[in-house]
Amino acid sequence: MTRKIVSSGNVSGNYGNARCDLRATLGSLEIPSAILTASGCAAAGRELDNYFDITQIGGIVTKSIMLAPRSGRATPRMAETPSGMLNSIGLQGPGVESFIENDLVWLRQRGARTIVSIAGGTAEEFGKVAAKLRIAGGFDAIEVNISCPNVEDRGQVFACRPDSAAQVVQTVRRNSDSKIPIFAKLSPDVTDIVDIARSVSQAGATGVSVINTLLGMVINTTTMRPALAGVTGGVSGPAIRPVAVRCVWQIRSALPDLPIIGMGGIRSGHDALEFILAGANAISVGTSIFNDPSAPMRIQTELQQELASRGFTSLAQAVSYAHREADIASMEEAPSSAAEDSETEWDFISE
Amino acid sequence: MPMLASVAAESMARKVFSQCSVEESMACGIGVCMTCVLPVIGEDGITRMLRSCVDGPIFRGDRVRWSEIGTVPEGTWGSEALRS
Repeated sequence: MTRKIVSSGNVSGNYGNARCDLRATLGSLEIPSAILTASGCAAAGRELDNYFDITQIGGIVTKSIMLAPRSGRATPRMAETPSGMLNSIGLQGPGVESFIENDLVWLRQRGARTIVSIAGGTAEEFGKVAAKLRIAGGFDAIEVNISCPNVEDRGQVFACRPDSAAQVVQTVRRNSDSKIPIFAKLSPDVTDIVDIARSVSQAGATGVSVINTLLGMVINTTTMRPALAGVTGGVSGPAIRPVAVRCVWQIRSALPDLPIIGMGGIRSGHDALEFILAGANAISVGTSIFNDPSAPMRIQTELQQELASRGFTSLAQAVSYAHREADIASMEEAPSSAAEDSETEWDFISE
Repeated sequence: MPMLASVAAESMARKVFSQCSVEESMACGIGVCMTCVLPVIGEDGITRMLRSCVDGPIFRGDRVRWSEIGTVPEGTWGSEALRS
């Protein structure tokens, strides 16, 4: 029982100046802050650097890059929903070669830690993108966006089956420097997310990024047609946070040592803390950036305060803290009959 | 948008230079989300899906493919990858 680090009182006397070590260790990846951006919500960091110093957070997770340039889908690409939104961008991007020459070079010169998100329509394409990145170097980790349709399997999403998810991760692993950590980004649209997490872990993933968007749909009642040109889209934002926290919890329960990057609707340090307590070693901020470009930096400051006010001196202490047995304080608050039971039990043990 | 398209068409017919300030539905407004794109012909003659928030919002009237907004026109940079 590590209850001594939990305090109901005000530890520092001033939460605003409270310091808490936010370092995170994700396998071989060590980052000075556990706050990352979420792929697709930060482009390649350049725009956000106008709003906060991107070297001051844990790192930038770039928008998923594919082998060839890609126009993306037609518009409308976005629909709003209560506490969230749908997007159907279609992975618009310049292709990996231009990404390496322009974006990766800039991120490196800027001194930002970089996790490159990669995507593909076949396992082979994922491998080719990884191979080009391997030659280029100059980044810290790879995130594998397996929530792409497999063009060789009737457009079935790689992330939805343990074997296809593992195949992609294995291909990326084989085509990457063995020292580069690889994170598989999992879809919540599966029967058992633990199955997928276990499968990608066995295939060589360093850890998992949890969760990608949920597949959703909106009908425009004026046109009486789908609101998105792509018909379906990914739901993100605060609306999906409980789903994301549940996924982190389930994976952490089953795989105690697997590094987890948690994400899904985080808009405050308080939200971020939920993910950490559920078992995430680090977190990503995504959709929140759209209404507050400085959200990652703000959330980093807020999370530090949230942790310090609960008596944690480091973020690492709080990881998975919600998985512990109910502590004594909550037993004291329990109904009197329960309290009597526990007393009886204690007497028995002391004999 | 139809008004801007008409202005651009009228300008082109009269060989008058025009600039139009477009506004597409946006999520971020700062260039990271790729929501507010529309097909615009570049100086190299190639059509790209450009962001109205940071690549625009002001474009030359004769460069925007007005009638094809809401589509990815054939030949747009990177459109083969999506169609294959």
